[in-house]
Amino acid sequence: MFKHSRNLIALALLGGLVGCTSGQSAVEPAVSGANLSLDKATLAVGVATFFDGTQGTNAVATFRQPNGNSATLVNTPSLTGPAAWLVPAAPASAPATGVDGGTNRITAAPQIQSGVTSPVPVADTLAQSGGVFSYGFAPDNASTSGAIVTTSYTMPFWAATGFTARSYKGGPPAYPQERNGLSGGGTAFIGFAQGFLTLNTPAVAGTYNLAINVTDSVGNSTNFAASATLTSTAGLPPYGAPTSVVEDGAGGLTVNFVAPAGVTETVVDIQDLNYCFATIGGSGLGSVWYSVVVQGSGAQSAVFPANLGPTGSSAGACGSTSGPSVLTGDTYGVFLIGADYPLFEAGPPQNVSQTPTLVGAAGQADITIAARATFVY
Amino acid sequence: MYVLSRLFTPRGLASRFTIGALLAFVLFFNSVGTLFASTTGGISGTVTGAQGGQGLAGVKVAAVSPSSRYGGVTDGKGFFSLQGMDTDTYTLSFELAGYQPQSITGVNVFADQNVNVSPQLTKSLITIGRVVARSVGGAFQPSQTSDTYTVTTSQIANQLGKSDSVSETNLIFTLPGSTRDSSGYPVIRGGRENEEGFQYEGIPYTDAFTSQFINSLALNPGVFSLQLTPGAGDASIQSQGTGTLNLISKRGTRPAFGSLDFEALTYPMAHQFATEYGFASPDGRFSNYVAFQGNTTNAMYQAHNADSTRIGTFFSQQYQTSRDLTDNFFYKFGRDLNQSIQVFYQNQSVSFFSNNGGLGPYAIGSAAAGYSGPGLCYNSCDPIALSTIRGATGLTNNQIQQILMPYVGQPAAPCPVTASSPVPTQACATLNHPIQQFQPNDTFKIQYSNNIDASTFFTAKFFHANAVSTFDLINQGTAYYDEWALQGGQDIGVALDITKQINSKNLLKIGVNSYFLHPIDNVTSGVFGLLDATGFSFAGAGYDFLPVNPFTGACSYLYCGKGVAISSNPATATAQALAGYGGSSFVAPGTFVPQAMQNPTANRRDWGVYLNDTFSPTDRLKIDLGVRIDGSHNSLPSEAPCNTYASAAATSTIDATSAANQCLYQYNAFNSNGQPIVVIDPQAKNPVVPEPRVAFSWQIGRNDAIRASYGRTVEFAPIADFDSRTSRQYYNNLYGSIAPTPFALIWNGSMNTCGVTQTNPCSSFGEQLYWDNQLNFDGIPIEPVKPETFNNFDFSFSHQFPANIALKVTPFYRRGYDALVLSNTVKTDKSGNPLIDPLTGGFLFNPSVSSNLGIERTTGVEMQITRDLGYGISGEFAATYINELSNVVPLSSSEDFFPSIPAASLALGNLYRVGFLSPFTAALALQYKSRGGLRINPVTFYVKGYPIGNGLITANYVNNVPMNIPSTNVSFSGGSTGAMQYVDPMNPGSITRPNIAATRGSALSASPGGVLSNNRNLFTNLDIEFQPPGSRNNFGLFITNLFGNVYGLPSLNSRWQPVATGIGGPKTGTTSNVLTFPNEGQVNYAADRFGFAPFIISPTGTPTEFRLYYQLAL
Repeated sequence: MFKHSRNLIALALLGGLVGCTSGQSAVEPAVSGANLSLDKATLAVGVATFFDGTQGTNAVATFRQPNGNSATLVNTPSLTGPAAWLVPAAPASAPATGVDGGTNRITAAPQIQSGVTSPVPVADTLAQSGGVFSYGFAPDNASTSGAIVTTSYTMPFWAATGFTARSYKGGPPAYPQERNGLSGGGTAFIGFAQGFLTLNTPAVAGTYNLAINVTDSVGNSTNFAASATLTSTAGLPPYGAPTSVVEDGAGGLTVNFVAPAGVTETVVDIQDLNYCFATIGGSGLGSVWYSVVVQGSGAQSAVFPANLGPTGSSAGACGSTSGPSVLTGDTYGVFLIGADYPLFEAGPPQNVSQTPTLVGAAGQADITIAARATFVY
Repeated sequence: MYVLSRLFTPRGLASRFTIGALLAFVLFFNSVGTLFASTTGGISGTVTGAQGGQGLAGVKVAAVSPSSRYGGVTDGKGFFSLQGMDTDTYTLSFELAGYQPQSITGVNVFADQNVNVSPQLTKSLITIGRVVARSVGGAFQPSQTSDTYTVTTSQIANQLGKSDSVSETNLIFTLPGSTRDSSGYPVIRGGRENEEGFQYEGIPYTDAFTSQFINSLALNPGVFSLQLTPGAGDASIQSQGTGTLNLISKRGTRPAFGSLDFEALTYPMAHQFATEYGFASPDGRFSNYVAFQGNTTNAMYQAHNADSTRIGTFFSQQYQTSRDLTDNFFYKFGRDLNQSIQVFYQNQSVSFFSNNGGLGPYAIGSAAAGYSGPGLCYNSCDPIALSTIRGATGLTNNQIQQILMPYVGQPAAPCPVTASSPVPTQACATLNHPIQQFQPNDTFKIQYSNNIDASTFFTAKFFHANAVSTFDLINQGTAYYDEWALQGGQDIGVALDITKQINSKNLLKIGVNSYFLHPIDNVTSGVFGLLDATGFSFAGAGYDFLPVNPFTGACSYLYCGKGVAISSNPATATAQALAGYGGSSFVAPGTFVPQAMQNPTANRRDWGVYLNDTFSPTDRLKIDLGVRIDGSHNSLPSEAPCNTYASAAATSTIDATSAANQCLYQYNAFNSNGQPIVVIDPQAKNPVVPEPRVAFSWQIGRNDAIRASYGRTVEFAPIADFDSRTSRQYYNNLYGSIAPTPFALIWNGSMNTCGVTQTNPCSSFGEQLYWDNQLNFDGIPIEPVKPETFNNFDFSFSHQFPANIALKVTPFYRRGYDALVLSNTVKTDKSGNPLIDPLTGGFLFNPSVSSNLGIERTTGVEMQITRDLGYGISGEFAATYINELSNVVPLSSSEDFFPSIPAASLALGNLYRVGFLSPFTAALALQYKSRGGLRINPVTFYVKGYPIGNGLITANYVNNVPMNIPSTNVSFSGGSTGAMQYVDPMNPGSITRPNIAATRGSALSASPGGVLSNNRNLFTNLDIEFQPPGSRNNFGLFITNLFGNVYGLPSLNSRWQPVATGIGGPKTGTTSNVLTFPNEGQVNYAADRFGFAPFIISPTGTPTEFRLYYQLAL
């Protein structure tokens, strides 16, 4: 029998002298797999209007289990538009489109083992990381580490030169507070997805098809589909900058703005770009998000209370300052996102319907997004 | 008339059995437990007259065996006692004028067993009475006060399938109270692998450093008997922890005996030769027994050079050798040969060589790069290591190879690499150097014995055991380092024991022992060099061995271009740096990043004293009362340097003369000035442990008996638990004259990286490297701990059935105190308030150190059924149910060998059912033996299943509050690769109510290890043997693993890509390192190993083997 070595890395060796091991032989534990046929995908498309008046395409997708959770943690989607819908072949900015360039589709690459050189991994828009989850497209396909992946795409895809792509997250008070050390997503989860994916390519009237493939480790493949029809390419008016932002000096602020006509609801996002950086220096806590939802168009105000900041052990030294929403000296951005569909109501955690409504009265999901307005508190 | 079993009668002994006036008497085999210091036993009893039952005085009593002769006379009450008898089979004779002489053959005396023989003499003619023959190895032992299982020579053969079998492990597994842990190692009543005692001829058979067995659990043909005592025996037994296993050697006899054994294997290769010879001189003065056994096997799961990675193992080829030489010499002298000198010697060498049978083209580089052979590689050519260091430092492969310490035996010149061929050529890099493990031991004892008189026996012995294992571990392709280690040590000891039959009712034993343990632990590993060079370590000191600054590309460090003005031209500065690295006046050319070193030096001296009285008020009732006191002295360094502050305002205890940090302990208290100090528990320095022992046995009827015992036992902390020192001299010899590197300021923001707190100034570069290595790889240098103690309770009921079948059932309970575990606790200020990390807001934790914070509670039931017959069906069935609770998290790393407990679980006081034990195991060893010479002997093992899975609940800190929370890929304290549940990345829920989007799909339980594996049960070995009647020749076929069950326990697949519940993704089994194994990813997760599944299983058992053998009795 082998002796154990103290302080050396254990080896997985044979059991030792002939006949030394016995009775440990086992079989693979029984595994019960999910019934993927119960999962459902939905799709809505619309016109995305950017702050400079240019327009692109908005795609909103869900892929959910009956209980509203993301159907799978790994999948391979593709979105195919009408024949005239064009994916740029050599876009000026990310993401590269690879084999999708010049076609009417964006795709994710099939999952293949790392290190495999044949077949060569496919280069395409969404790569192997891109998938569809409970609310939208995201580069969150799980890896073999099993770690939670909570990143977001920066949008719009293929932003024009001089146009900065942004990512968007939802935070309190509209969404639950996740920066209090009690989040099930840990410190990696900094906010909720808002479901939309804007692409800097003109929307074309016609039918858009979403196909989602789920393949397992032994090659079994299951496919899901959803489609949406775009009838109008008019889109919403461009969203102007906030008319004013009034800080209360305690960490809270009020954003005053004018929602364009046709907008039925506006999600106002505040992003503290590096929470507490100004206070403690060094690295800070990175982005911290807050969100308020306002219904209707015209002059509006969104009030952000003063005490929504990170708390608990996740806040580090910053938590000792009792969690103001924005700390004095921090740089923050204000986003105005207008939609003519239930952008907020369709997403988690408030919506766990397997097939949420993703379109407005016009039957599509138009969106208009203002430029980020940046301030220093 | 039932004839005493001849099973244990040495071959050739002429039977002098005479049928005497025997009226319904029973042979009692009393066991008072295995005697640590003794390998002898005794016979006592009362001779009475058949008419009237009065004790007969003046009866001459003689006990004769092939090796020994003893005699005595009964006292006025007819009582006699013969003590200090060599273990053997005796013929007892009783003579008294006026009475019919009587002889009784086949009386077996075993180590520390007192046989009660109480015959009746008659003046009348012989009447046939009834003798109930009872095997000393049988389950019914009505006068045995301790729970001891004895296995005789023939039973060893039965329970292993054949004689001359090597596996002591399998033999132990056939006994009640012994359990196989999940690693395949035997543990006694659920103890951990270093919580049990092994002895051979009364010599401690555990190594001085880790307290593991030293004989590789390999038997030799010289073992006469094996005794397993779970729990505590009587006070004369220095029980270690949870139980003791003692081997007794054969002795020379007259007439002589011997045997030859030849064995060979059809597939795969194996052969064995064994021989033994024992003889004694006609006058009985001299006897000697010698045995040799040589065994070589080359087990393989697949054909040679087949790609073993397809079945999930790098080590398809397992070449093993075992050589064992034993000699047991006696010289008797004095009046009636009442004195003897014994010289016992064993020299054993067991070696293991593991190499892969063919990693094929998947090992290093690709077929295009010319690889096709085995894939083991020195760390300096391993593509994982090279790419990792290149990424971290920007160095080229050649430069990396220049700074990594060459492995012992590695070619002197680094393997060249080129831009077009970034990995070394196969000819240079590929090794046939296997992973090797050498486990030799030599054991020596010299013992003086004196039967002062028939009832008084004295022994004095000296012993020495030397067991130092060599671990030669080369990079196996899953980690990038080479390691070499010596581990073990030497024991030297003396013991004195006196056994005195005070009167017919009291047998007194007293004794004292002392022995000295000197550990050997010398580890050299390349891991420090590799990881330090990539900046993984605390001080990043390895960066100073790099030719250029990996961040700036220029030379800006102390040790490059020293003494030369640094050019402002980057290219020139780089050239200066390269020249400086090779030619610095401070660092010699060709200097390598130092190895990781480990070199504990603490010794330990143990001592013990005991007193035990066996009180036998009647023939049916026996009571053992005793106490022993065991103590230990650990040669720990002084803690004074930790408590010597220069002033009330001083913040560190830097040594004034050396300017170095001399404190080797973790601070655990504060003085009046608020300065941290070290206080060591006296029981950690010089523990003294009293151990009361109480036991009784009562034969309540002819065929029924009960016994019960309580005993306290102790397990002194293995030296490996409290001495984790690194070789300070190694680093200071090389770099002690160089100033500390300023790189620490860049890496840590402070130059103070020395001392146990890593916050003190460093006096030299050597000190910096020393503390860097010590704290990152070995921890706090000295970690004093108290010994573990156990309270052991057990009760037995046994019954003798007809047809020589016996049953014994023993429920037991054990409570462990101060169990040894590694743990880390929250740092506090002098008022006990937790200290908070200013950056994270979380608690600051002390380093993990050895502590006595472990908890153990064990309950269980043992059962044994035996049937001992010369012919027909006989055998042994043993079963053990065990339920053990501990605060060590199940399935955590090293759970049953130096376990550790996470801080949150410790703070919560969680108790779990241990993860390394199956709740129920059983073994059945059957033998059918015909008078025609045929013997069929299957041995079957059953295991209910072992705990698997990490459970639904985990302990972790939530906002600095320890909580039991749902275990997910986010919250599991063991990391996401061990998760059983995965949260929705878009809606994770809360830490207490997570949204679970997927699980692994297997059965889950709240606690880790709450689900049992599904075992392929009935692992069976089969022996078929034929010995023609009257012949000395024996022919046999032994089949190991008849049903070919080789796959081991399932373990969580740490590379499982979660897609949905029970569904893994296509990346399952791979890593993200695209350079590792082109076209295969990480090959040891291939489909053949169920690498696509949530659990993986690998072959770990012995493949099916067919072994032909021939044995000749000399």
